[in-house]
Amino acid sequence: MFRNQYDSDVTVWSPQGRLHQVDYAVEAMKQGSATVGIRSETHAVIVALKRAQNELCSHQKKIYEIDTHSGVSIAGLLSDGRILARYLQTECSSWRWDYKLPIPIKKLTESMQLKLQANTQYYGRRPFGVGLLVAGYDKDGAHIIQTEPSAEVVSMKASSIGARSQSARTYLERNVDKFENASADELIVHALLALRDTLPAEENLSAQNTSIGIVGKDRPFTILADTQVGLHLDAVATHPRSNAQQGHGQAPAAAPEPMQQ
Amino acid sequence: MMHHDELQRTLNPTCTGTSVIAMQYKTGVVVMTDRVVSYGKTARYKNVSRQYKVNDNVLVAFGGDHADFQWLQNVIERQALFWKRFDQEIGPKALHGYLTSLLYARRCKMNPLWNTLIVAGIEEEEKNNKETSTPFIGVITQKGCAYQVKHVATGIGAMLLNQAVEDSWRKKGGDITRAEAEAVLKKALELTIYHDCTADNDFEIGSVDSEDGVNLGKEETIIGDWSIAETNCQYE
Amino acid sequence: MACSFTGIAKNGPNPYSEMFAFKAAMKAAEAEPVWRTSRIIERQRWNPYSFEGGSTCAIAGENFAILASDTRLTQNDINILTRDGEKMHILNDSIVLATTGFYGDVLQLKKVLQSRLHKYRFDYRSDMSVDLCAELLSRNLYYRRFFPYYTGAVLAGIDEHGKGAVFSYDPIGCIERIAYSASGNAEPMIIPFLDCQIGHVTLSDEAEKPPLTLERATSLMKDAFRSAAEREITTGDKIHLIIAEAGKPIVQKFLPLRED
Repeated sequence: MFRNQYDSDVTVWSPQGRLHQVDYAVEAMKQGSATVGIRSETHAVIVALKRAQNELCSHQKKIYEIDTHSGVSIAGLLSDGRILARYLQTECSSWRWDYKLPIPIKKLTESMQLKLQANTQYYGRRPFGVGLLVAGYDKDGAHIIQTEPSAEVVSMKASSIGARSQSARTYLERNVDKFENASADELIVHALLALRDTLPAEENLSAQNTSIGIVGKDRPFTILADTQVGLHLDAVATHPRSNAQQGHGQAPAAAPEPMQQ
Repeated sequence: MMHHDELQRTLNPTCTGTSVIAMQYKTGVVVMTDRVVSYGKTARYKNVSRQYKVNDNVLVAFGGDHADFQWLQNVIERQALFWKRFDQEIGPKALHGYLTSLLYARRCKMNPLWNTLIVAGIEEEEKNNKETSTPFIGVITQKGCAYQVKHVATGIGAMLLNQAVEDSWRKKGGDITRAEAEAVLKKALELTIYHDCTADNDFEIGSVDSEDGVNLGKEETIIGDWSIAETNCQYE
Repeated sequence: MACSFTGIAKNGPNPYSEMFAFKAAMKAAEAEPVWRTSRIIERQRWNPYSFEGGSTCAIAGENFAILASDTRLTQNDINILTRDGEKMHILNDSIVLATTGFYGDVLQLKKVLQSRLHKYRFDYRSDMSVDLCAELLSRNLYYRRFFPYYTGAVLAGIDEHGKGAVFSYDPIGCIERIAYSASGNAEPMIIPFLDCQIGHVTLSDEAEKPPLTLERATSLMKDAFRSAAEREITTGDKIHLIIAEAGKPIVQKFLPLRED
């Protein structure tokens, strides 16, 4: 993607009907390390790949708990993501203040959409350079909500965003029939298998670089501890990495060098 | 000495409704109010309902200032519409929480809403699950003191009827049918018309049921037994 | 202002009429002093507080904290609003708030703390400790110094070192960490009992002083509430017991109490 004369601000249209600043923000999201979300009838799982810039560095925080019934994982500019996660947290909190109940995920989705959209329409604003996967459970069941910097907010059965997420999406599309009735543990394994497909052949998932968040019926949102992550990774390791090469072929041509943050 | 800003606050209610009596039964709630609004002790407006249907899950009944309640009806309606905006129906717990915040906030401004509210209903998701279906009755006092009950009488009924209602509830071991609950309420109303001079013998029984949803009751009348009046010698 | 007093006339026709006028003026000034603002007048007219009665109590042990309250909410001390009121609120795995007083304020206070704890959990990825929450509660109470939360709060739980903690408050945020505390209408009955049984303040040096185990604390709680319910009308219906033990989940129990 190259610079052109129609990208000076989000309020500027290109003759093709595009908002280039918004498109750029979507690119930023695509360069963040990948995250995968899947829901069944009773549970929603989000898993994410945490990068460490170098060996002296701690791993990024990719998953946030925003309420007892909801959590969010982030792909893109993590600093932008934290602001959005904090926004969602205050939304949850103020809903509890008003009604003494957890916020319905649909309402959370609506608030999120409005906040994202504002930054794609007003002069001088910058769209958030992140995509989010919100996992939630409320009286309507389990939810995975995917958001993009373009303020595209969609409810998904399974979703993946971030670098090389196309490979994960391939896995998800092939196995989508199995998710609806899967148990919580099966769901985690599916999500991890999808996430593993986003990795180059020489890398693998580890307890250090993998984050798992789960929420569901009678199960408040929790970010699993490293030891628990390890147990699930053991289950994943029994599945051979069949289509690692194939996955590479399908990865988008964009993002040759992942953005460092 | 009257100050200007006092005129803008309900520090004395004008037209009021008296007791509300409500009771749970297996799969729902029945709520009884009489149909009179009093100006002091004058029965000022007759045939006025003191219950408001929010949606198919929730019913609100009130005692206290009628003008304040009419304003509250508007607030509640706006809330119900707000929830519809994201495909939800406001449930009794949420409305109870909201109205508690509202009444408490108003008392903190020293500008209270002069009402005691009863929020009765069933949560949408429990409606579809018969085993866990637990009806809800929430009470909110004028000062924002809120609690949940299985049966309640407010206003002067709190003094007169709470015990009578509780006794009949306990006699049935809490496992009460709708017909039985209605019978208890009617008996309770009979007691209020004997003792509460602002209570009326025209009344209605509204209900929230996990199958039938919310129904505002038809107007009914009770006469009671006034034979004892013949032997009352204090009035010549 | 109804003020007809114009000074005492030396040679007036009737000295008594001047005296009566003076008395009337004093009375009027007393009833409506000029310094009263409209706000003060209004506050005297409508009381924003009500009291729902009942009592709560908490005892801190070496590795546990135990709290108890009754479950009765009353109106004007004589009329029972409900027999299943909640006066204790579990804020997280190691903090419990027990309060009596004006129930509207109790609910608000609980909401404020829950909201702050929610924020803390997001910011720090862990639950707040009872020591921090105790300080937070104090600040929140003092913030409303001039329109107080009319609550007798007791905050208890397990502190960062795994020890039982009980914090006691007055309505405007005076805070003290103590071994045991009670608040509410039966406070004057429960405190002397605990002074004797746990504080051992009235015992001679030779007297046997049993150690405070969880079992002993629990039975002291039951005794305290049963005797309080005998004499204090707003305390009754049920004892609600909450036991927090270090490293264990919080346990709740309900025991019957007098219902009259």
